[in-house]
Amino acid sequence: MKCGFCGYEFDPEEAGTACGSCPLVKGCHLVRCPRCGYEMLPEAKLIIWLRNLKNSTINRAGKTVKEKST
Amino acid sequence: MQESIANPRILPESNGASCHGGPNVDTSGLPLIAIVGSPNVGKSVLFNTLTGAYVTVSNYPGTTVEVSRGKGRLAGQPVGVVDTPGMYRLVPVTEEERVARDILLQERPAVTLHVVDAKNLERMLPMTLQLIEAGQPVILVCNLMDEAERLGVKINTTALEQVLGIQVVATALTTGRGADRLKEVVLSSLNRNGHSAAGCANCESKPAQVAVVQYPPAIEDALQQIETQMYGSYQLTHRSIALLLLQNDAGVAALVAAQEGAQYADVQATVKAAQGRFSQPLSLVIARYQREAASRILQKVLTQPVRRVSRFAEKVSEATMNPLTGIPLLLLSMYLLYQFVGVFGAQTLVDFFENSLFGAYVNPWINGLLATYVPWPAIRDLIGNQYGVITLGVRYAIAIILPIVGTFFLAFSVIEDSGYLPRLAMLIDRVFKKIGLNGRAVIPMVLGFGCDTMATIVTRTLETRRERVLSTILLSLAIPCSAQLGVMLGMLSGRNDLLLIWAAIMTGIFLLVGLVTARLMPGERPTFYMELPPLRLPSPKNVFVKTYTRMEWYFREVFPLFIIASLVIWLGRLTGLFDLAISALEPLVRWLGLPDQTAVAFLFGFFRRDYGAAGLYDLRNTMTGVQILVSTVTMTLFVPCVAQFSVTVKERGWKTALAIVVFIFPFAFLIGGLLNWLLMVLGVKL
Repeated sequence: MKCGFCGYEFDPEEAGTACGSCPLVKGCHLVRCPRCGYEMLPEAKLIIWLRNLKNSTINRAGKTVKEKST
Repeated sequence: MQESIANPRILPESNGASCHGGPNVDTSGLPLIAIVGSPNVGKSVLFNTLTGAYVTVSNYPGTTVEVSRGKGRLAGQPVGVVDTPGMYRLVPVTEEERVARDILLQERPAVTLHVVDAKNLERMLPMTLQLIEAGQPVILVCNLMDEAERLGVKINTTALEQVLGIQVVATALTTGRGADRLKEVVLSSLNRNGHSAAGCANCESKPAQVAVVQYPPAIEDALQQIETQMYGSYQLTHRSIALLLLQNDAGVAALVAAQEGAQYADVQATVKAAQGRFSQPLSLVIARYQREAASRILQKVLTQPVRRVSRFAEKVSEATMNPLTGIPLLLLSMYLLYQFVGVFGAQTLVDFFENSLFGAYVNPWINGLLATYVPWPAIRDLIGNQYGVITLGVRYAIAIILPIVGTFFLAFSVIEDSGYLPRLAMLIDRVFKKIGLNGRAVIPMVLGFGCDTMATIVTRTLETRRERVLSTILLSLAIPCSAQLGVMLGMLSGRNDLLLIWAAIMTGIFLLVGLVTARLMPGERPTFYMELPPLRLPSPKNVFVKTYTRMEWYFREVFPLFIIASLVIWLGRLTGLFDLAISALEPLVRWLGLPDQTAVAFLFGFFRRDYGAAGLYDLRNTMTGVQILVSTVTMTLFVPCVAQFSVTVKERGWKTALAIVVFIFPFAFLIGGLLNWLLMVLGVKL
């Protein structure tokens, strides 16, 4: 994911989550940019699902083209 | 925070038997390999490559920073491995960097593997130079080579080895590329330096002096003088220690003071004299020379595709940071934001949801159903009527706050994706310095406009305690969160005169409190430097993703709090506590010249400030212009919500958190009351 403040690209899996110390919003999982500390929300599940759907559709289409050409 | 080197509490547990000690995994007697580098460069993958099943992850003593330690074997020879937290430089700013630096200072690694992202070598090489200057046994690991090659980046590692005088290994560790070669290089380095499981011959030896960066004569002279004034034994070279002293590294200063005793006064005098010869802080000057040295080195060894940057984008970028053009551009952005959020969101959309949806259909339907089917007045009050969960909590959340925060989130996503925020930080840096903050503090301030609670957590990234406390006060007092700001803009919409007075008062209070607090808490003015991403037209896809993600967060996190607040109010009304609290607040709101009903809104404000603001918004048609202005100013300054207060307690401690609330509560009512009195005396009718 890309930091909305400094533009640094990083893997949200490796970046620290931000809200661990907040007693009222346990589990909100904000992601902290490792370079500048700016905090962002991880992408919504629906967006991730849509992206995966798009990628798998493209992959399937690619496989079909390969199979046809062989 | 920087005193941790001198603070024995944070030293890792050591059994005293070996130079390579560490908590949990016993690496006693084993040569230690330290993995260092920025976050997300593949340090953890390398750690897993070098270690086996004997791995523990634990907090570094005295901190909340996690450090991974493990044991591994290189050609049958056992080694200890430590994966340090991410660090960008040897002078620590964050707690993670401090722990990483302490590990290098205290645990005497036999080999230091500096892992860098091959795509961003220019940005990361300055730290390699610092490690070489510090006399660390460095091996440079250029990782993510596969990604770099895909982007057309080529690195001549042989030439780089010759220039730096250290070994360089190109890897793509996620695919295993270069891992075997790296192990061979580490092993040969251990054997060459006399480190083995049988004994570490060189552990007590002094680090070799290496000068890879040539600084300006005034700094070089000071470095030589300091080196001759120091007699102690350090884990870094004297040159590196002197460089850290010139950059005001408090931890190293404490270490040198302890080692040198009376001689430290001479060292201090040399440092002060050198600093006095530069108008800029020496940390900036030294960092610039290190960056330039890295660029010069890379010119010979790095080939990368030419990036095209539009000249127009460059000019706009410069205009946003120059005060002469940047401030008018900032005012223009704020005006457009107000038109979109305050006028379109808070008037058009709220009018539709509030009156056409809830006012005409939802509330009458719910109240009708309750009157017909629910015989118990308490349950009817819980769900419907004046303060019910649906008729108040859900209505506030969906009809008032949602359209406003929705438009705000959309506008904020556009600003964020354009790359304007870091330029705003550079522009505001000058003003912030006057009140004892630096441009880095713009990050929590900007985040505060989203949510003050998370912004309070972000203040921990600021360098000094003074900055952290100052920012927490300003966030609690004068920075309204997105929902509150939106509702405030809604309250003042259609009344440009009120909006201007409100903005002027809030800016004045922000600067005044900042200046006074900075005076009360004297300290050094911090420095600020950050890399700027390119300025660009926002991508509709990115804006949609960011807005949707924030809206989803709003419903998941904030909406339930509105329901809980409604339940608490219902319970308060059942027990009579609600009426008691309102009676206590009524004299205060009367002093502000406001109608008694506004006491309810201020009571709501204790739960969430936006909830309170929505309460005021509900009453705005019954208030005069002066009352709208006074109530808006008071509510903006009002005490932090429960979540922000609890985070302040956690981050700053009970004493500071309570002191902030004890200051803010009377201050908000004092300013509101004074404003009301002043307008009354002057006979102003708005």
